[in-house]
Amino acid sequence: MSSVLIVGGGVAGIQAALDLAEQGIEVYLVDKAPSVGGKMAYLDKTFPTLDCASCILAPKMAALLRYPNIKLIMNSEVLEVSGRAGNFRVKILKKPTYVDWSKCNGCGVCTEKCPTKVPNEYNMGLSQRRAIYIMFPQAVPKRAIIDAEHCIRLNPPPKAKEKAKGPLCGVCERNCPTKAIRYDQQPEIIDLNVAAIIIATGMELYDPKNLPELGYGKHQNVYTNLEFERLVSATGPTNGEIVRKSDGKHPRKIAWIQCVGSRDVRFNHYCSAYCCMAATKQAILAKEHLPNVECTVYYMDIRAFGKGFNEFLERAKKEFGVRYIRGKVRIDEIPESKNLKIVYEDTAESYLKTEEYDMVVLSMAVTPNSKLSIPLELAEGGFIKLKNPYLDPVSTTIEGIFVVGAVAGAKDIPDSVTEASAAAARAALIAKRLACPTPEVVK
Amino acid sequence: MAGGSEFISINPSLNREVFKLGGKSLLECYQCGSCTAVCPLAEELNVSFRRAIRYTQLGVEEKILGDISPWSCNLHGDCTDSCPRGASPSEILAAIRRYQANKYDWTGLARWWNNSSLTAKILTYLAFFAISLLFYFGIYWQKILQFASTGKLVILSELLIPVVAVFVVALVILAPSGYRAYRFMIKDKKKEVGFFKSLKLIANFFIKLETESMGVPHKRDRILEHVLILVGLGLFILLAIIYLVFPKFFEFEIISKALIYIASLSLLIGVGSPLTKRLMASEKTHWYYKKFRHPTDWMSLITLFPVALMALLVFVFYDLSMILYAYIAFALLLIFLIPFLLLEFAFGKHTHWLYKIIAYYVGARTGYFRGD
Repeated sequence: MSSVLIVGGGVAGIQAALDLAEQGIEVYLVDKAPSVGGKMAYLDKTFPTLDCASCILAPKMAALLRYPNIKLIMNSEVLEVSGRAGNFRVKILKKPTYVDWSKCNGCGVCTEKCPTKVPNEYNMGLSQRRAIYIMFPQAVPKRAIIDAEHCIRLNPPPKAKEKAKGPLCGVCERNCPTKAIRYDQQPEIIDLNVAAIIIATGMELYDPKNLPELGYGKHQNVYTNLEFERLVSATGPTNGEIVRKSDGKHPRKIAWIQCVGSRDVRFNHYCSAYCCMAATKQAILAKEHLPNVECTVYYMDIRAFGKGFNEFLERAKKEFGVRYIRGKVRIDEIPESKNLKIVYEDTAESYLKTEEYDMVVLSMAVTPNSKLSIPLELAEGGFIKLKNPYLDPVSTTIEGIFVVGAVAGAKDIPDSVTEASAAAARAALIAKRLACPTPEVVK
Repeated sequence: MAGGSEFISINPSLNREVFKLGGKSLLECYQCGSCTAVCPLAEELNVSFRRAIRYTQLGVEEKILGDISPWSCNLHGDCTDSCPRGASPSEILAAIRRYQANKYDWTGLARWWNNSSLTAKILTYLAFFAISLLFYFGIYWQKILQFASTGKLVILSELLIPVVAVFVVALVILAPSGYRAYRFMIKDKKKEVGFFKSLKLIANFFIKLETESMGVPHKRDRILEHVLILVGLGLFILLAIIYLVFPKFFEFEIISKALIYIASLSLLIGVGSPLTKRLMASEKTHWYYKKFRHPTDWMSLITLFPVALMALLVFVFYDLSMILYAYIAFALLLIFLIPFLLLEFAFGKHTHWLYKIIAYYVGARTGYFRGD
């Protein structure tokens, strides 16, 4: 019985790991972040049922720890892959966490004592974390990690370095109850031998600064949809209270702009698939948080294709009174109030209109995390090319390497999970030597 | 939609014709409306460029013929930069404009002129040029020599007569076209605004628009060039009228000379600058001109440039006391003017002065200006 490597610990990677582990196959789960969870861990609720995202995801994440045959290799990257289906040799770079994870118990004392404050990536920079931190409260594995770039001890400011005689700071080391801090930890190369590989590296949001007419970064109250998701989330920067960046007040009118960077020949040709429903969900969440808020979605086409999606959309319109307006927009800021003036053509009426909003959320396109060290063929849009999109939708062009989730094409959570189980089954065939793939050497 | 008959007739070849007239990206449009949203005009005018493009795609000719929005477009090209389909809405609008102008023209010659290729245009232009050259030098050569021997640049009215006649002919050709344009545009619309208030609205609109556009270099340059051409042409027409009606004005040599130099220099710069930019246009410099490359755009400048050049040369030669050359330059100026007036002014891109005025007037009277 041989093992399977899964690259990327998002919801798809977790599902594939659990499916394989249940069959008794040894699984290595590699993620560049210090915790599994991926983008789903950032979400507050999921569409179309408005289930709490972490209530679905956290049990799956915790389940990873229950299987002795799942090895989590966090804060790591795949450096090199060679060999062929049934016998891949993989080199993994395990970057230092500066904490001995076998001793750390995730108590969090160090994160309270650390004097250095840094913008929190998990909250999209809307709140702050310390230089030693646990990625988020439900993190799996719940272990602390030092951000070497901002830590005073590891990366001292040049002036302080000249003055000081010995090593600086060291607060976390002094306060750690289990003596787990290792400032001298070095990067580690891990060599693995696996039968199959599943790529589940997922996606990133497209950079909204490429669309200057929407003014992201220039206008304070323009948010990306992931930022808004953190804002409504109970674990978010404001503990779930929707407030504006500029004045800390509750917004009374919020607008969502669809297709930002997607379906646009200047940026990405493809439809990002999740945003119509995500915006509808966020509009409903906003209504639930602030019952008097007015929500408007500006769209080009609403694509409610999945099971229950159209009903969800109808519910948003009828039950919650979310307005849908067809038209692309330009956003201007009103300097006094920091409100946003949306200029759009109501294409149903062929009339240019302007409307003032307190907050604008951009439904960003997704771009795949497909810059890997594995020489996989890419398709249009940078997504990993599938061997046969109809009959073999989880196989890459290399035998024994499978691809699931948003790195193979923009998609939502249910589709990613479905693919993960499919890929797990295919990988298991190779791992259990039930399938004899044609030999094909990876250079 | 307001007004109109109950049934709308469709012209299936409309989108093909507009495509041929330069609207190459017509069928790319998927009606998102971002062109209207980013347009600096749309905030002031109650127009929808998207709707005009949609009607063209569908072939609703009767809606297109009376649509004033293509004429209100100033070809800034902001919409082209923000189009998610990579289409060029301003180019499509320019093509729709050509289509409309072809239909407004009652002679049917505009249709041929706008549809022909650049080579055909240049050849036609050269033919007209040759005819007027033969005509002028055949009839007036002896007179020119005779005038030149007087050493003064005064007895020009005789030379002016054929050009004035051609100008009148061009106006006579244009007048019914203008009336047709007015009928098409005013159809199914109600006059809501008084005449004087509508003039005020137009003035306000232009002041606001030009002040806004002055902040953007390529827009500012285009406005200045356009103003220079208008000033140059306007002054020349004014001076010609003064010359024919009240020739004594030219005895005030300093004033008249200053006016003549201002007119010819502004015309030369106004035409020369966009023409050179158009020739040099690449991705980095003058990229704006890459957006508008229809033969009519070229011809409007190519035909006007020698006129401007000759106008300047007349007075340069005169001031250098090279009277014969001044006369020849003057004759050439008139020779170049004839094909310009007969082709470009009567049928080509330059007809936009008439249709634009009519469109703005109709727009102002029927409540198309938001105004305040």
